[in-house]
Amino acid sequence: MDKLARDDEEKLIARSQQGDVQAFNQLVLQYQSILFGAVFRLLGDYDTAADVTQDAFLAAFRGISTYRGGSSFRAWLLRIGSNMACDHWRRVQRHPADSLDALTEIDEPQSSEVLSALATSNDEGDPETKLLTQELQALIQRGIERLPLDQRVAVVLCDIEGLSYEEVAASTQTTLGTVRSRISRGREKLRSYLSQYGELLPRNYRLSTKASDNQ
Amino acid sequence: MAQENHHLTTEQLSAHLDGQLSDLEQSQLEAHLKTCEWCQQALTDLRRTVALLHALPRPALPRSFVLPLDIQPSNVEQREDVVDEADRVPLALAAARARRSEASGGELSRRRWPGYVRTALRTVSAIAAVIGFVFFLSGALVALPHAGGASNSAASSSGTVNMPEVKSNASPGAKLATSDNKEVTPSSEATIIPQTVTAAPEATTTSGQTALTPTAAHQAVQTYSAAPPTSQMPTILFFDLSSGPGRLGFGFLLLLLGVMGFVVFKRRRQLERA
Repeated sequence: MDKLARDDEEKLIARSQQGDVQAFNQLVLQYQSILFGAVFRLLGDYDTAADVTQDAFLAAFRGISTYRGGSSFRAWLLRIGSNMACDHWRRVQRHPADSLDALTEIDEPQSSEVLSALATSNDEGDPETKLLTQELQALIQRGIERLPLDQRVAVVLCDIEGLSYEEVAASTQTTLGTVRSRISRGREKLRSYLSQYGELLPRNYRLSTKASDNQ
Repeated sequence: MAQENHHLTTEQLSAHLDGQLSDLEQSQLEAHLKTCEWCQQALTDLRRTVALLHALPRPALPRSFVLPLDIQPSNVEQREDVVDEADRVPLALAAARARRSEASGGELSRRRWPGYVRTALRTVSAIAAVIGFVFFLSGALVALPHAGGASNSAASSSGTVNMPEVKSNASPGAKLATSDNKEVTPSSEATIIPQTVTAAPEATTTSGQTALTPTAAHQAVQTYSAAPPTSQMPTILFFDLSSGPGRLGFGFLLLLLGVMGFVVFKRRRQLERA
C-alpha cells in the first residue's frame, strides 16, 4: 500500500504547495483508491462518488497550503473527501438521520448465526456465493447509508479504510472519546440492521449453498 | 463483583475490539466476559459486524483522478476552511475539464497553453479575419466603379442602416476634408470612419435644410481628421491602403491570416477534447 516513503511524500507535498501539479498528481495516484473508496461507501452511488472525489482532489490541491503536517496526509485528504460527501448527502437529503434509531430497540443476539454466515460467505469463489456476496454488499451498503452522518464517517474511516482512532479524530476534527462513541454506536446500529435482515438472508444463503452442494 | 450485575456497554466492547481500553477497563472487561455468556455473544456479534465491513471489497476506480496540468493553484494564501471555499468554486466545471483531460489518454504535456490564451488567440484571429474581409470588400468595391454603377451597390452591400443619408451627406464633407488627399469613395469613407456615420444622420434629423448638413458633416469629419493630420490611409506592409488594389491585397492577407489562426486554434481545442 505504502509505495511512497514518508519523506518522499513530504517532498511531494512541499512541491505541491509550490503549485506543482505533477507532484500533486503523484499523491493523487497514491491516494485515489482510498479516497474514492471512502466517498463511495459514504454515498453509495458510483457516479456521484466519482464527481465528489474529483472535486475533493481539486479542493485538496487548492488548499494544500493549509496542510501543516500535523496529522497524516491520508487523514487530511479523507477529511476533505468526507466533508464534501457529507455536504452532498445533506443537499440530497435522502434519508432522515434517525431512521435507524427505531431498529436498535430490537436487541436479540439470536442473529449470530446469520452474522457468521455473512462473515464467511466471502471466502468461496463460485458464482453462487459471489452473487450472494453482491447481495450482501448491497445490504451492508444500505446499512451504512442509514447511519447518521457522523457515525457513518467514523465507521467508514475506521472499519473500511482502516484508519486509527487518532486519524479518525483528525479527519473529523473531534476528540478520541467522540470517535470511540460514534464508532460503537454505528457498529451497533449496523449489527442490529443486519440481524433484522437475517430472517430474509439465511434462506437465500441456504438456497445457494444447496445448489453448490448438488454440483 | 459489581460488573457481573450489569452487562458491558457496546462502547466498551467496541473499544475493546480496537484495543482502545485502558488497562483497568480491559481487565474489568475480561473478568466480566469470563462469566457472562450474554456479553460474550454480544462481543462475537460485534466482531462479526466489523469483519463484514472489513470484507467489503474496495470499489474499482471509475477513472484516474489526476488533475489537469493547467489547473490554477489560485488561492495560495487561503485560510483554513478548504472545503467551504471549495464548495463556492464552480468545481463541476473544473471536474468536467479534468475528466476530459483523462479521456485524452492522460497525455498531459500536450496542453502547454491555458484555455483563456487559446480563446483569446482564437478571438483575435476571428477579428483579424473580419477586418481583413472589410478591407478586402472595400478594395474590391473601389476596383468595381470602372465596371460601372458601383457606388449604389457599394452603399447597399455595406449593410449600414443609414447608408443612403450617410453617403449623400458625408461624401461632400469627406471630399471637403480630404480634398488635399487622394479621392476617397463614399463607401470606404463610411465604413472606415465611424464618426462620420454617427454624425451625419444627427445632422439630417436636426435640420431639414440641406444647406446645413454638409457643414455638420464637414465639422465631424474635420474633428476626426484632426487626429491623423496628414494621411488617413497609411501604407502597411507594402500595401498602399489609399489605393484600391492595396486595400484588396491587405484585406486578403489579413483575412487569410485570421482564418488560418482561427482554424488552428479551433483544431487545437478539438484535439484536446478528443
